[in-house]
Amino acid sequence: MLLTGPALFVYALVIVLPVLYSLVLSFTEWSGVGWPRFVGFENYSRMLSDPVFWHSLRNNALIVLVSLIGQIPLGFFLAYILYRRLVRLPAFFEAVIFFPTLLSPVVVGLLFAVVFAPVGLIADLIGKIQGLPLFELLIFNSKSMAIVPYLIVILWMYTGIYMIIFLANLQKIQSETIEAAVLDGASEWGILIKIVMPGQIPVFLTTSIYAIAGSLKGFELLWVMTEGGPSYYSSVLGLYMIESTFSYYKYGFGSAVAIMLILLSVVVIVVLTQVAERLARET
Amino acid sequence: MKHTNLERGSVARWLSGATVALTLCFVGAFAQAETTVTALLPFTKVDNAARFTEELYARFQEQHPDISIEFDYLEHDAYHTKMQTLAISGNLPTILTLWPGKRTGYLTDQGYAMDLRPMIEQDNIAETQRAVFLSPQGANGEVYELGLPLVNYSNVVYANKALMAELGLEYPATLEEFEEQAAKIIEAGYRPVVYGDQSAWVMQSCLLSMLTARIGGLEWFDKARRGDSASFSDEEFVSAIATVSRMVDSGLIAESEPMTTREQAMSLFVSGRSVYLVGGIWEVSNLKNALSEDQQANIGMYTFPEIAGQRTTSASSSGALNTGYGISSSASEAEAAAAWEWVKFVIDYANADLATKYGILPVYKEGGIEEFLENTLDMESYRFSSGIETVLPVIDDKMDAEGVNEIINAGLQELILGNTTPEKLAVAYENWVAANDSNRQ
Repeated sequence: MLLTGPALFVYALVIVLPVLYSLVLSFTEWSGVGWPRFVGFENYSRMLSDPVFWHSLRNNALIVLVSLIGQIPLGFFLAYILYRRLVRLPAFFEAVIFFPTLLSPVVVGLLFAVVFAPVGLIADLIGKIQGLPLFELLIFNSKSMAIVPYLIVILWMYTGIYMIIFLANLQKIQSETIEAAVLDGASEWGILIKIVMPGQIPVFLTTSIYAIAGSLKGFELLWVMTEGGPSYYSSVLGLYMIESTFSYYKYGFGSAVAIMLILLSVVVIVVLTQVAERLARET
Repeated sequence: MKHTNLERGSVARWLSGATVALTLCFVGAFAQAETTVTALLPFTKVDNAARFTEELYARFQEQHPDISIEFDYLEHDAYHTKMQTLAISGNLPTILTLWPGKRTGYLTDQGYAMDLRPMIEQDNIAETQRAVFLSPQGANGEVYELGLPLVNYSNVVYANKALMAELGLEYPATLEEFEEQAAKIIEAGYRPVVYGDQSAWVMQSCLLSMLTARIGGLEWFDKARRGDSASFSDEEFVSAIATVSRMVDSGLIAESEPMTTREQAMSLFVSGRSVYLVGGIWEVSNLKNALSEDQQANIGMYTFPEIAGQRTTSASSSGALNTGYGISSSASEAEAAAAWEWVKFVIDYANADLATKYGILPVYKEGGIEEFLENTLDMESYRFSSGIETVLPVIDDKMDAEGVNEIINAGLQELILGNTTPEKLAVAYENWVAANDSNRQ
């Protein structure tokens, strides 16, 4: 206890205290001027009755989904291909796939804002091919589809980081094991499922936690790309929280959204951990 | 040895000379800078406004060597955050940059800014400034800020006159004619009008505000704002929103507008792919940067065409008074007097040449600024401003930001996409205003 004391103290100072402070603020109305006024659960009930909150939550769920069933499996798949050297020039592909993760989200946001703009790159190409000079890309005009360009961008941008994580772990597998399996006549699929996959379950769990946390808190790339628009169609909870807090000086309401985000993260991660543990026991 | 004495003597003389010079410098500095005040400005040092302020201050110091102002610069949003913090901690700068509308209500409504009326009266400012620039800003007629006398018009129709001539078009006199033009322009393979509404405020600030005051009239708007036998669910406001719908149907507003940025709209206009651009008067500086002198001569600036049944003249545009300087209510008597000297200096006609040099075109009571204008687009901009008979209110300048942003701005984008109706939007906004807006408290 004595040895962990300093670490616990720092943890309490930078994590626990701010969260507790947010929790207290979430039950108040405070504009940053004067004293906060206690309002009970009013901020929470207002948040839960706001359609923008639910639409933002839905978009966040889609982002988490793309991370869990898009970025991570794709990252693993690419890592496996490179690890097993199923393509030529694996080092080149490794660098190319990892490169987007090195870019600033602001740069990526600006780049893809132009690509997906109504009069942007894609619209220009389609317009030229079809001979329609006034062609406009209207994917953002659909309430349900407005988040899709962002999902494509995060898939492109962050898959590389999972690929590197998996690649690093795959390289821990002793080559003799794989060679023995090949000599025994194991197929590529068999090697993947029976030998490689079981050892990667903890990595899947770690990357999933990382993906969920990142998916729920991220907003800067989206802000640069769409500003959450049109209207609130591509908004996410992070953006909803920032706008509520700093645009209208509603620190209490913003704190309620922040607490909701923390709760969501904790619940999803706990469920995921239990599923992973059960999976590990079964395999 | 003699040599050393000589050296000692010259060093001693040098030291005593330097001491006298330094003392004189200090005495001079203290004698000249009797009062030092502080100011926080809502723009960064790389901004055009910063360069203008610095040059203006250099001129101010020539006339007022006894006053020193320590300027600090902050980006717009950070400025507001810091001012709130400074207000709470009792550390506000002496000179405040204030908005005439609601934007800095967190200072003016809380008593952090001084009412300037006694000083305005004492120095007879009404003799040199037009009445509109001395309009009341507080609930009891308080005037908290004075700035360069200009109106930031938010509804200007910029026209590419060369493209209009190519298509055989004249600037439309009525909305019906405008709508007829839209069809012809689309048929010719061009975009009729661009706005750049991705940030959502454009459609409200640069179009709906003008439509609302033109259709409803100034008196109705003021009553609706206060909830005095009028409201935003009235036919006047519904009709203004319905006009936006009508413009979507006729092609004057493209469905892609909610995701078109200002930069993209500007690019479509300057590259000759759109005949008109609707925006604020501030677009003049962007156009000057983007176009050559010859191309600038082809840009016309107009008020929006006449709308059938409008209650206000067509020689009108929505606009908000310029931001200006106020004085912290916690300033000492000497500090307040020094700050007031700066405020008076900023609005002085004698500095009109400096304002125009930086593309700022104020409207003075004492005289025009034509003689300082060299750029054709500046001249066009000044012609536009001088021709405005009635300044219409900008909704987000008069009403609380949250309701405007969350209900009107977002709602207008949904309206353009066909996902709401004018009636629903008007009712939703009235409900919000009735429950929350400080105008109704």
